[in-house]
Amino acid sequence: MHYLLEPGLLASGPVRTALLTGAVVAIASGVIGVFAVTRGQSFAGHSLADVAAAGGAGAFLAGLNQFWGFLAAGIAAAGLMEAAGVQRRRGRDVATGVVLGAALGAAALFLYLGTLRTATTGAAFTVLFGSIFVIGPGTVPALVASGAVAVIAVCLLARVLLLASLSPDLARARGVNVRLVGALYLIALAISVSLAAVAIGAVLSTALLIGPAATALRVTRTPVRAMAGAAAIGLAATWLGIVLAYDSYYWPPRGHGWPVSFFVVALVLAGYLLSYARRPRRLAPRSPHEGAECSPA
Amino acid sequence: MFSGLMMNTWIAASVVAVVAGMTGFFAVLRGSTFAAHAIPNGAFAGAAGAGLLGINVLWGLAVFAVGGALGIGALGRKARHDVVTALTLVLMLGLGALFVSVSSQYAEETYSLLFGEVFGVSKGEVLPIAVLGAAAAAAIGLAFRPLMLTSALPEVADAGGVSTRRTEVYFLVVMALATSMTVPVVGALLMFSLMIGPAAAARAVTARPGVAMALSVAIALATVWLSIALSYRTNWPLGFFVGVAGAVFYLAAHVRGLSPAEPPGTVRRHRDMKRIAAVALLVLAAAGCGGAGGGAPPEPAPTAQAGFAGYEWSVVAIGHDGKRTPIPARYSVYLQFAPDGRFGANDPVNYHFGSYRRTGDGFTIGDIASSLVGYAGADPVTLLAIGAISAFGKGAHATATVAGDRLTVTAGGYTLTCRRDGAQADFPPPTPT
Repeated sequence: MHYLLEPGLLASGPVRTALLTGAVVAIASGVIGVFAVTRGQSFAGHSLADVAAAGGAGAFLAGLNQFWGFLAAGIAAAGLMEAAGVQRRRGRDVATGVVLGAALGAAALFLYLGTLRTATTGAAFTVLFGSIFVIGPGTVPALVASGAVAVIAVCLLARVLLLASLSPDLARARGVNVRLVGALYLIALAISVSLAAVAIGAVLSTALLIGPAATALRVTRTPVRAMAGAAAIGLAATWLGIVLAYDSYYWPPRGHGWPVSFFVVALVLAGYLLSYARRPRRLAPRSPHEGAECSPA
Repeated sequence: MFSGLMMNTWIAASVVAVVAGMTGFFAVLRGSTFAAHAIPNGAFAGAAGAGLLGINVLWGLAVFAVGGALGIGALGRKARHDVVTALTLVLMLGLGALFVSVSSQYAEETYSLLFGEVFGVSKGEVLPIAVLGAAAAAAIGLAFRPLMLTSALPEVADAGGVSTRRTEVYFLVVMALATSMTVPVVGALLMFSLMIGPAAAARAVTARPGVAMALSVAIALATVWLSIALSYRTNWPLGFFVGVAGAVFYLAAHVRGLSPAEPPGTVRRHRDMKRIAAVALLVLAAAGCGGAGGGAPPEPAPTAQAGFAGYEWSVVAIGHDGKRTPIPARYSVYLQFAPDGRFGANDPVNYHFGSYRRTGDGFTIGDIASSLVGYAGADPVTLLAIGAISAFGKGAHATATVAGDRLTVTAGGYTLTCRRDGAQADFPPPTPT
């Protein structure tokens, strides 16, 4: 049999890179995700990731590093969504959806053109589902730097952002430029989902963004603790996921590892479901706006 | 563009468009945009799982789509709706990633499930699509009033004895049903575009529910028809055109009519009519452009039919007895048509080689010989592939339709959907393994 910590795990270069990038991604997603959940922007976060996938596919087509494609498309989409009025409660999901639909179309085209040129079809899988073990060491500094920028920006903005999220009117009365804060936040969100897209794939980055944050917000009352908790949960899920994926090489079917993304998603969800074992609590102070942020279903 | 096999595509895609237009109208009205994205995407995982178990893809799609809908409906009571939707979605996608990876089913199949495989819909597939489509449309039609009521005035609905929650779950399940039929045709990602784009455009034009729904269906049909025509012409993926057309219609509708929030009245109705007329004109113009741009070049039957010659084609799916089975790349099933008339075909066990002759609608096999390796296993996909390739016997006639890099070949009751490998057929043939 083998051990949970396979001998040689930490000696492997790709694994060390994966652990480092995984940590950056998990912390950024956790911290930024708390606001995505509070602001009811789960769909926006997921859409940014899918739009970023179009960028990733475009970069693949152009032969560039995928991360830059993800990042450029993510930030452009954040700007577009801001223009389309993602701050509005009514109709914003529809506006997001239309942008998303067009971007998915573009992703389809880029992936198709990419396969024509290189005669490989693996790109679709890599872009959409990611593979943390194949991140080149050259990309790591860029990943770490952009993750740090996003986290620092959100931490600096945290107070204002929280106020603007929970009570935009009050924030406005205090002279906060709610729109600017929202736009800056969307850009940070775009950076964080681009990071997550590289690590666990565009369509699964939502797991790291929403899962740990939603879990933490069920467990704790204060926003700061929620941010720290979300980062910790995300980090634990990512690292454990990497270790399990490395081990899964010895699981059936033998000689074929299971994807990291699957483990990360499964662990994040297990955490969320576990939080139901506790009595649910909500983020304080509970404001009348909070309920209104749910999608109007 | 309207040959026998393409007719299946037109019919299936039209059914999909009608259902997507109807479902999408309520998805937009109820603010279930995220669910409309999550359910088709999650269903993709079901298809991957079905591929792993070797059962009909439709079952996998249905189980995952309905399961996802019920999950969103049940958990949505307890927690934030968008959070639950997001988590349900990633759970299903995570499973999908696992299934695809474990079954080593190739990216080819993943790609077509996500982005659609509208060319090469076989006759046997049209019927289940039509039945499921009619069922979904009927389910929406029957519940039109409660759906409207719970969408527009939930409090009134609850007071009137219509359960908002139960209606929501009902709607999500109908959406799931519609999804399981459409994902194999338009793909998971684009089912979403087709539901949201046209419905959002229709809603921007008129506030009256009946008219908006009809318009949503009309725009969805126009989107699909236009996209098929353009995709057929350019070889670009259908999904690209569907996504872009949805956004264009939405923008166009917004340029004309903004915020249908004022009270209804004669003035309003008058304006409604103008807006509808404007959008209808746009739809017609767009369809006309598609027709003119795409239809004007002659349908060069001989050239189009001959397009398969000189290439190697990987078989990605085989339709037989009304069931379509994806063929993962590891089975290495392919057809080769050398420019000089030599023919090659590989099933998972044997390699067959001989000659072919082009005919009006396809080709005829001349002589054929085969490596004679026996197969004692019982893998259903292997057996199916052996059966399909054996249809290319001496003197057998096959019809062939080329659409972009897709080739659909029908012979002896088998329909083979193939993808061009990009390379010219490589002769002399590789020795079978």
